Amino acid sequence: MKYTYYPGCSLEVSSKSYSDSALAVSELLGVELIELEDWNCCGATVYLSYEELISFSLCARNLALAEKYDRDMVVPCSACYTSLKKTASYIQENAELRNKINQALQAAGLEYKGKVNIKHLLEVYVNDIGLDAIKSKVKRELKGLKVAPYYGCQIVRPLHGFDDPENPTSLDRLVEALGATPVYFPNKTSCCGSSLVATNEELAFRMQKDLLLCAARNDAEVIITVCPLCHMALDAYQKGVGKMYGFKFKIPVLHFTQLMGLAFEIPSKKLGVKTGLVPLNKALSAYI
Amino acid sequence: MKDKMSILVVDDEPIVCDSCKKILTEKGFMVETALNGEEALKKFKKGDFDIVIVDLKMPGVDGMEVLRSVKKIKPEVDVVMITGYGTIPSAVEAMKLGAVDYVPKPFTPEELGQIISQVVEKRSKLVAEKAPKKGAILLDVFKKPPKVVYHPERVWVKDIKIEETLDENFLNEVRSTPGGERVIDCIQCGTCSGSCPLSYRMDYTPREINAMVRAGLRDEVLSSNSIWICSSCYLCTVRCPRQIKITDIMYALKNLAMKDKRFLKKAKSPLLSRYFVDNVNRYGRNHELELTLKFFLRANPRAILKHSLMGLRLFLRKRFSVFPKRIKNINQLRTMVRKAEALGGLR
Amino acid sequence: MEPRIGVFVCHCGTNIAGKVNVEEVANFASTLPYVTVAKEYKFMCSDPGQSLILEDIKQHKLNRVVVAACSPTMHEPTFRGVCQEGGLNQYLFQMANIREHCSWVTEDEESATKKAKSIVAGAVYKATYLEPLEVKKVKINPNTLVVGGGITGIQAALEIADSGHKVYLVEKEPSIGGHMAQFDKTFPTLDCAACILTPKMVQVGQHKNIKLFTYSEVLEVSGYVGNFKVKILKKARYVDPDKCNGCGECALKCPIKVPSEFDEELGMRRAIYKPFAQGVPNLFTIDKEHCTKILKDKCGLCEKICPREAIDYEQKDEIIEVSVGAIILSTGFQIFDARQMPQYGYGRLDNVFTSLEFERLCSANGPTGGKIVLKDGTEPKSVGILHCIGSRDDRFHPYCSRVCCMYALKYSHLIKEKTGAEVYQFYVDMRCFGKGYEEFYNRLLEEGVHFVRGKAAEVTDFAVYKGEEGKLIVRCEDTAIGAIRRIPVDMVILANALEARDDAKDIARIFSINTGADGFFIEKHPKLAPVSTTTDGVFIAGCCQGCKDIPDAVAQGAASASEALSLIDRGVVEIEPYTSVIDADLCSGCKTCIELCPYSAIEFDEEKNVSVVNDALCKGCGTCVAACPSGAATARHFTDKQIFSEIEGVLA
Ligand code: SF4
Ligand code: SF4
Repeated sequence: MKYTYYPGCSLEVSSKSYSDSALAVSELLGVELIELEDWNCCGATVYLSYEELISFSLCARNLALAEKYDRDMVVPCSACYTSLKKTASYIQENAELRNKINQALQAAGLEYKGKVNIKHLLEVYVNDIGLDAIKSKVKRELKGLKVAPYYGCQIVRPLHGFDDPENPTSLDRLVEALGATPVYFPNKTSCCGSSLVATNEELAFRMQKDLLLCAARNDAEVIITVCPLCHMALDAYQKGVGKMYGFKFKIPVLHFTQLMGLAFEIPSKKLGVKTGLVPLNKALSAYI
Repeated sequence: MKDKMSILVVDDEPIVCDSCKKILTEKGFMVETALNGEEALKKFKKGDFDIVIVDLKMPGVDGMEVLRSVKKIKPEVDVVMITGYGTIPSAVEAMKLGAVDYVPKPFTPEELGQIISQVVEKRSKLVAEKAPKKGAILLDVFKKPPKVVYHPERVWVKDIKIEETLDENFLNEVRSTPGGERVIDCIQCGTCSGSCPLSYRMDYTPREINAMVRAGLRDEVLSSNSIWICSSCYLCTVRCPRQIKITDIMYALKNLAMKDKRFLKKAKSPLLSRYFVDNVNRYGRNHELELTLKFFLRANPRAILKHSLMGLRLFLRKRFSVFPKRIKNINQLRTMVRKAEALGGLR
Repeated sequence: MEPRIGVFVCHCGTNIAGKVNVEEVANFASTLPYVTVAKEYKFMCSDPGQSLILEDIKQHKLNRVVVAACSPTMHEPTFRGVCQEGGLNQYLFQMANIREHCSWVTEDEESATKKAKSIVAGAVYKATYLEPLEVKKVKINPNTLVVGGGITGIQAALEIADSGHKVYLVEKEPSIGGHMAQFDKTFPTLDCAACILTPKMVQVGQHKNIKLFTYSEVLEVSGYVGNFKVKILKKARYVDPDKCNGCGECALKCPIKVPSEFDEELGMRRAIYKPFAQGVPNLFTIDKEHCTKILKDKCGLCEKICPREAIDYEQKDEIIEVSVGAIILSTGFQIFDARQMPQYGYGRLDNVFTSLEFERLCSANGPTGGKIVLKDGTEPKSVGILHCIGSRDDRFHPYCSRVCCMYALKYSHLIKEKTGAEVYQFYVDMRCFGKGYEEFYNRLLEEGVHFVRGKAAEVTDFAVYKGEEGKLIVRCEDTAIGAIRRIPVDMVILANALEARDDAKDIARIFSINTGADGFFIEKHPKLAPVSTTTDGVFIAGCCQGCKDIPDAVAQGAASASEALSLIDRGVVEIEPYTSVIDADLCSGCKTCIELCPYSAIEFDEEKNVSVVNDALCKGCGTCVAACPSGAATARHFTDKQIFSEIEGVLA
């Protein structure tokens, strides 16, 4: 199966291991990811806060570029996923917005007809490839590994429809397919606060504290994420959060593709599992 | 706190000085006057004033200079500017330099009294906030309670909302944004705010914001911290029983505030947005290092040390790139951005 | 005879005259062909208005009357009456609707007047060709069918039966009683539901005029007002009703345990069971989905045990046909499935209960004997009641369920009385509109219930602060104090919405009535015909029409009974003569119409080789008229001539 691949800015540098592992895992599953030529930033929440029309147009440029190919577009970053998907659906729903965006695109010699189908990487794995196919590729069952499946907010909201916005299960099921055990994680769709980390650290840390605490209390040995920003929030700031609240959190955080890669016995170097700031623990090292 | 606050009134027109003195003394303040900037600064250095009221336009040392010096000597003193016809832009400039408010000339005793009592109320509120809180309701189990770093820049003093001062058009502005249409359908159930992971720290909760949009409280909404605290998690939106896209409304409000340059000076999100936008417009993609550096240099230089440690650790793991990645067809992107800008946004 | 038409234009106060220049319309009307007289008046429907028409009929020898006023729904019968009084056949009357169709929906006065003129002209042109028709009179069968044996159906059945008429009461479950039988106490008086319901159930069971069909469903209805034929499926209960005396020996021995529907699955019943001790009829029923004897021919214990040899595994479903003149539907409601809102934890977190579950917990004949306890058997120290779950919510039900605020108050009282626990109500608005309701609210305020204004956002078991460990935490915005709160409680009760039953659409289809967007049955007029439907002779009552509390449901039960009785006591019904006729001379016998007629009202006369319309069955829908290739079918009162003329008038 061929998909247009939109990595997004974070996966280029700071979360390169997410991209590397996604590509490796996809290849093994027979998913061909073809990077969208000359894609640009989706604008994220930050540009949208500044100017909505331009921000929507930025997404629209990507959609216009992707429309040249008759393929679904797959996005590993939940924030990009929401930006692109929201833009696509607002273009459909709102005539005035559509009109203005088209004018902006036209000025740049582009056109978007509204035909690109946008999917999150998790969605592709769970729905298009299927858990059975994934199970069949597992070489080393992650028996007994306790995994906190963290969805974050943007992948399930606002109403993307591929999983329940309040109680999604696709990642839990994926974890089970790898032979590992998803732990009870009632906060699984709570926001990680990463958009506030730079501007209001206290508020962001408080959110991250709750997430880490919940994972720790339920004995998670690893947290997996489906978004580079969530990963950054829980991994890179884990120490700082612990310090602020007087905890010693030591829960490694992996991109979900890295965990898949481990079960598929893809060399851990290729997956970049050691690029996180929280060092791996015993439970995980067993698989490396 | 002293039981009487003291005020220094500075104006080159003796009659203004005298009438101010009369009005304010009646209200129970200790008042001194000065007829020019030099005299004012001299008196200020000697005395113990809480508030300085100063005319913007004066020969010699003018109001602006008085303001600068006062703020330098005693930043906690509140300065109120007196402005004449046509000096409103300078008044705005003065606010940026730290004046709390201004009174346009000519003013009635009531007007002056009202502004001063607002200033006084704000001062006492700030003092109260700095005092340790007794028996906070929710005790965090963990020993270290979070530091409260947020202070509202501008406290809205409660007063009767006069219909005349409300902005009828505000509702339409919000409703004309995609997602904002249904703000009128809110039944004030509070599901949004109860769900919001951050509403507890907002000046006004999302539910209140909806009500305020409908009532036309444009100033209060656009200068509130609520819109900048929203992390865009969409939980309110998926839970609202009236299917109001509250997150989108927050975006609309951020846009309006940006356009009006109407935000808390201390709110860092607008600044971050600004740099991010520059970044994307320049390269087509975000250059994380540049953005972080620029932002922290301006917003919080002291934090740079802390962040640079983390930066180093990321760098060692090849997770930081010194050079930006520019898209090939950057000109195409810029043309598009320029066109979208020329279209004047969504409203 | 040359038509002599009188046109009467009504002002309807300012309703019409506010937009339409009525004088101009009347003047215009007087210029139309055959119009002998044209007048306007403030209220045509008033006594003076009616006498004005009457006098003109006499004075000007009118033989057609046109009234330009409101919609015919309300006043067509009034003016037809006037015509009859004046000695005219009532079908020589034509109404022109210049209110709903014109003045109410037109902005500009000039165009309103213009439109009114066209409407009046259409009516006048049509009136020219009106023909006298005779109403049909049909005898009414004096029996009534009541479907649904909840409190509403019980009330309706008893009212009718007490007046000496026969009632067939059909109930789907093995016992009558409906939801009310599940309740513990009733608001606002707090009298015990069973104490007031059980005597009525017994009365139904013993009444000589009531034939009770429990464990039964209506399969099919045919016929029309006054003469319905109803097919009832009586499901096999594998127990001989004449032998069983309800001793219950069988259920004591039955080895199969099944979650009890009546107890909202909080307790168990056996495969042979009676839903609850006071059930009527006093009969046991075998649930064939679970009985191993019936499923796999294993067991058969009950047959051995029954002292009266009442068990009969061979019993078959039966279909019974009855004839009735009127039908009352009181099929009730179901409650919203709270699993659709995972944020409240129902089905995931122990100790999150639905309203009906709580009723069973509270009820003396419930699974805990009336003890309010948590899943682990201990008493709660604090309880949160969450209002509006699935109600007032566009994603589920936009309407207010009307009873939740009140039963939430009732629960608060019961909880405080039985356990002394702290009770928190999370509400959006308190709606206490009935008699004694606000007083009840006041009483609960005094009892110290915590009223938190704000809809609960979520229920979680993730403790963060002191005092939350091991509790359910309700997070909400307390809009009254303007703060976000997390309130730890031991038990959460969800006030889930009442909703139309899943099978409401099927029932509506069987009885040829309609359901609204909310799924409930639609009444004929929300204010003036609240229990009638657009199908004559079919009435609706209770929660199948919309959410309501017991007093309102009972009132509607009684109202529907009185409607049914008033219909029956008329003895005959008049049926509008708007039926089709097939001209035997033109009919080619192609039978096209017979297949198309939705009411199977056309028969074929083999002898004459033509189709014939059965007047009693024809509803005048006009399908045959449109379909007939030879133009032999005509709809009375809507003949081609009349309609073409009307169009001509509108366009003139
Ligand atoms: S959840 Fe929706 S209806 Fe309720 S207060 Fe918020 S915006 Fe209004
Ligand atoms: S989108 Fe914003 S306002 Fe809404 S719940 Fe999330 S943070 Fe709160």
